Amino acid sequence: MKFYFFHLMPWPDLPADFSDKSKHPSAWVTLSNRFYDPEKGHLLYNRYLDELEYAEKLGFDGVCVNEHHQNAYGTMPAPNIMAAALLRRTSRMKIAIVGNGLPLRDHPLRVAEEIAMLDVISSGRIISGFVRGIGDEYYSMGINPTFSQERFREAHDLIIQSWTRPGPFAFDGKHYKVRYVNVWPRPLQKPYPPIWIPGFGSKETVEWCADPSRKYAYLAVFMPDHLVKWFFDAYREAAQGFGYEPSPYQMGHLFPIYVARTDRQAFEEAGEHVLWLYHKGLRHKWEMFFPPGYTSVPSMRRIIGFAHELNWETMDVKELNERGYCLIGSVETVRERLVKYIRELNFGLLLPLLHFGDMPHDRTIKNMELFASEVMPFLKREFKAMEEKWSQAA
Amino acid sequence: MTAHEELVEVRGAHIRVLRAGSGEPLVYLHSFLGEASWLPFFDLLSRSFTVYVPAHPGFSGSEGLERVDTFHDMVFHYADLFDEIGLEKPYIVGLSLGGWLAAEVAVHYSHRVRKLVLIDAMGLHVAGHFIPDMFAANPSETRALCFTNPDSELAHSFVSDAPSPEMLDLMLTARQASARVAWNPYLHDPKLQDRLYRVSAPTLILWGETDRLIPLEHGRLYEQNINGARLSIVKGCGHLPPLERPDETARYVLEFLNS
Repeated sequence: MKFYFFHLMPWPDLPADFSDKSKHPSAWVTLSNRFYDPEKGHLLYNRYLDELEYAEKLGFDGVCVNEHHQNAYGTMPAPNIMAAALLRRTSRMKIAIVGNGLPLRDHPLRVAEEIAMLDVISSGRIISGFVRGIGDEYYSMGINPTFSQERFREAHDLIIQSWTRPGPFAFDGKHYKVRYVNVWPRPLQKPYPPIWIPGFGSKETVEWCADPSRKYAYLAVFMPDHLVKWFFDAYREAAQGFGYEPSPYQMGHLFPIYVARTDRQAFEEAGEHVLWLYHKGLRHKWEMFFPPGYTSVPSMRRIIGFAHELNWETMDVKELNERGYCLIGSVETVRERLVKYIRELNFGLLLPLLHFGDMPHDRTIKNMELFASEVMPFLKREFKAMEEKWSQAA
Repeated sequence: MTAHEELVEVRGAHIRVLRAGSGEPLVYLHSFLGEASWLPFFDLLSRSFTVYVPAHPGFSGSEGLERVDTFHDMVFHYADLFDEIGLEKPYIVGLSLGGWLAAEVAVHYSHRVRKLVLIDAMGLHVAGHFIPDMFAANPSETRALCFTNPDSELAHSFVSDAPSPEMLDLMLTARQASARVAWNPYLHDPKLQDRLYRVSAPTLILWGETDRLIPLEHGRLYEQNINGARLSIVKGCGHLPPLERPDETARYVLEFLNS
């Protein structure tokens, strides 16, 4: 098992009347940035970075930074900047960048260059995520969502080629045409940094990740148990269709985890912050969450079929916990449920979101410490066989 | 009246076309809602004309969206479709997105348009006039933008809160195909206004007085930029006069086409 501490860096100070949905239909796109206070932001960014740096001391395999635009849910519009800030203050752990939103950027070669720089500076500690960005961000950036999928695939191809083919060479795509592709620096890891792809709702993405030419790790993000299973099964099935057995490190599970001495204490301490995440931070306008053409019509039909599952605001902490949208409990509870998960779903990357919502610093540190001392080593021992069998692939 | 439905193949894509009536050919270009089912408005026109109602690529059972990257691909598609059906110089009536399309066809192929009717047409940008974001609108907001009476059965029949699977497909595909060509620049082509001088067909601009999506100022701008065009206003009507006021709208259109 590999453990990556995931941070969203939310903006916790929402307007006092935020519970009024008619006034504030979303924490995205239309929530005014006058609610952002840069003086407070200065303290908050540095506090959040301290938490990420501390993960190395606690023995995490790495941390994840991520990319979201113009919202209160996550204030890291430029994840490469966060990675750069962390690199020079850490020496061992990996830094997974779960951006970059390729179709949201004007030029994919900027991503290729930045990731290569980070990889060289850090001596190969970078994991490069590629994402399409969520629906709302197509509104925020004015990018046509109906081209999102094809821009993503083409930008990906250009970046991978720029890292693997000796330059200069010409790239002649539909969206990107470059006569002289010749990226300096080249990434340090060979052939290039590991690629992670967070997914949400699309089976096509799973199959694309599983392709033997890629074998990218697929990350299930904030999904209830049965959907995580559905996607990991789809991944295995796709890999088997390609004629290979996928490594558990090709599958990752990202969701909020809070651990305390007792179940009761855990719920008391984490409850309000989980609700902040699911009732406030993730408050979207449906039409903005799913802009036209961002998802294929068949996938859209399927998503509408399970739309009631995304109706987080009607779920209380207990229900969110039971459905697998979060995991809150004592050391024993958390260990037990994770062991069950990992056995059933056979995945090797766990990306616990150990800070969420408006959780204060001391509580975050307590959660990180307890997870790192009581849960992480336990699971590493429990799944030692996985490590031995697949260490090559990790 | 029963319309004849056929699939016309245009460069390998099947295009759904409804046809009824007799007389000279008239092509109706539908709005962003994809209303390519037979409507009372078409009945009224088909008493004097052979009315063709094609579904644009990607809408209402028509294929071919993968070849559409820009609005101009839609325009070329219509040149191809006219060739395929054998329409040399039809009358063209376009509503909303279809009105924009009609204007573009008349700019690019001015010799192939007998007369032009633009109804609450998208396509222009009026400085200082804000067009609401229809892509972000939920069904209830969409009805409020488009219909004089958003709670009417008529409004719900085109934009439903609880659509049947067929209706849902229609709504999802129409939304996707509209965004493909009209997301950004939003519902217009910045170059269109300057090109409208090329329209040579006699032109009627027809506008719903209280259109909340594409306000009347856009109609006036079309009127100012197309030679000899005149603007008629459908009093107290919203964005979709042929749907909301078929009789009155057809009267305006027929009077103009027959004059």
